[in-house]
Amino acid sequence: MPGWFWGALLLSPAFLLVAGVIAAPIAYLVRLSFTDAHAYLPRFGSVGFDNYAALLRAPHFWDSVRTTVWYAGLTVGLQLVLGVLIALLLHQRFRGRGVVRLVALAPYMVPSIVVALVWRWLLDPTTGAYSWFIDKVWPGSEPPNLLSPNLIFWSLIAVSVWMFTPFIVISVLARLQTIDPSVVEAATVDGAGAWRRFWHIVLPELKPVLYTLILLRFMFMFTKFDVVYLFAGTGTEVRTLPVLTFQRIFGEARLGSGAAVAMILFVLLMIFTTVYLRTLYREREETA
Amino acid sequence: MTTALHRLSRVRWYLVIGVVLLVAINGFPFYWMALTSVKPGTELFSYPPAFFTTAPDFGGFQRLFETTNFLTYAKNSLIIATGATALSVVVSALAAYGLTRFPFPGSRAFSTAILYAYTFAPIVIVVPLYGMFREAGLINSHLGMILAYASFGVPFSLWLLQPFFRAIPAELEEAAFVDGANRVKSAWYVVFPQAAPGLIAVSVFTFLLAWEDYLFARVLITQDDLKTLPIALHDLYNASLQDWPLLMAAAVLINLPVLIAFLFVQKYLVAGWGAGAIK
Repeated sequence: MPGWFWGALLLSPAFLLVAGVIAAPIAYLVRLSFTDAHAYLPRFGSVGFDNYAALLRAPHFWDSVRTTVWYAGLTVGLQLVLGVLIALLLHQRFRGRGVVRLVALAPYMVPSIVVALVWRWLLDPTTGAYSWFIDKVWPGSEPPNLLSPNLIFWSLIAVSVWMFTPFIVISVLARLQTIDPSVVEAATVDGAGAWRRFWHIVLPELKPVLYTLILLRFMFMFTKFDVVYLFAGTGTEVRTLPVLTFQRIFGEARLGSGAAVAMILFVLLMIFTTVYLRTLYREREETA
Repeated sequence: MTTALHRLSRVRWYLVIGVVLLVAINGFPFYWMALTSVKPGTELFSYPPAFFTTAPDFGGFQRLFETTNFLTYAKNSLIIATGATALSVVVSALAAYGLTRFPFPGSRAFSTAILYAYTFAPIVIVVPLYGMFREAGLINSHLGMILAYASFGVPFSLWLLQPFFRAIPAELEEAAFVDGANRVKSAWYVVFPQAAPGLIAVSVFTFLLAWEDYLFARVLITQDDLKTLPIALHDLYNASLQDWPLLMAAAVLINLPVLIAFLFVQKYLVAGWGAGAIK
């Protein structure tokens, strides 16, 4: 038997699984988005581009787009700044560093439902520990309700940054460990201060990984569903595109219309991924 | 760099402040979760909040086991996560072996397709999957859930495993052939043990992916006795009366395997997260 036969044979289960549960659904999604399919009833009539046209005309769709861009942009920006700072901190040598690293990374491992519930409990306006704390530090006439419709978006930003920053920390930390310490020491001997060493030596080394992280994290935050929905997404205050998709289908039973929103997310993902893969291959060629 | 910074700042106040803040901000929610799960009712709603308790009360845990189907949900989660992990790891290990040992026309295209697949967001896949599963009768079925999570596990597992298989020298296998082993035996006794660290890492990541997921379970399971832990916990929260010690007791128990796994696979975290194991 030729080698390629064995290769194809070994690959076929993986191929079938990915084709069956990822590729085929995408094809079906395209079809769904051109129908008036109902989420629970057997209705499946073709409507052409009506779903898309209705979406582009609906003001709340554009609200959703704005919310999603703000959510992804703000959380990625904050994660990046905090992530680099924490990575620099954890790169220092000190006693108990191993334990501190574990604590620094732990939030990323927690299931979204647990994060959402614990934070809703912490921020509860009447009995929450954090609400009490904020009221003490910042005594106002009225303690703020951090779960109210006008503040929940900002609470969600804080919770998301808390949960997802460890990803940046661990990626940046891994890169920091590959920087040659003698270069940094030489700069110190030459009289470069901490800030200049960071700006001229460390940051240029981190640039490629930061660029990749911005792309990847923006893509992930843009399509993030679980924590957004569970912490803040059951109403209309924080309706990002993934939440809109879910509400359309399981709240309003409009499977076809929801599929159109999902299609828009899918196309955006494809564009992001293509850009990401280009930079990945370019980096590989440069390092190879 | 560390030594240079050491020398520069004798009093490393920034380090102390930074570490204290980090530990407090990251650690407190965990502490509060555990504390609430054992708080007696009298301290639960006190103002200012009680920051520790001298009389731990395990009523929350007791009510969780007595008044809810927690054990059934835990069993469902365990079956689905274990099934998905087994399926995904076997399938990805075979494919990784095939890709690194027998390159064939189209294997590079396959690798790129896999890369695209691992960036797909669950929300995009779950919509059509719901439609397809409904027609195939796979709604409310553990098999359907296992298939769904396994196929989400395959792309990143394959991506993470390939370097492990590539690093195993072909001479090792050739030596096994000389000793009379066939292809299957050499793969089983020579190649797979060498790739064990990678296989362990992808197993843990796939298990967590299934254990923690909310969206697929919410959409593909509607029957109470088939629910997994995350959706069961959300439904308990949405019940009319919120019993916080009970909710936090459930949260502690759901987190336990996660934190154990976390200690176990720390050193693979970079590789796993980089491959998009957990988004």
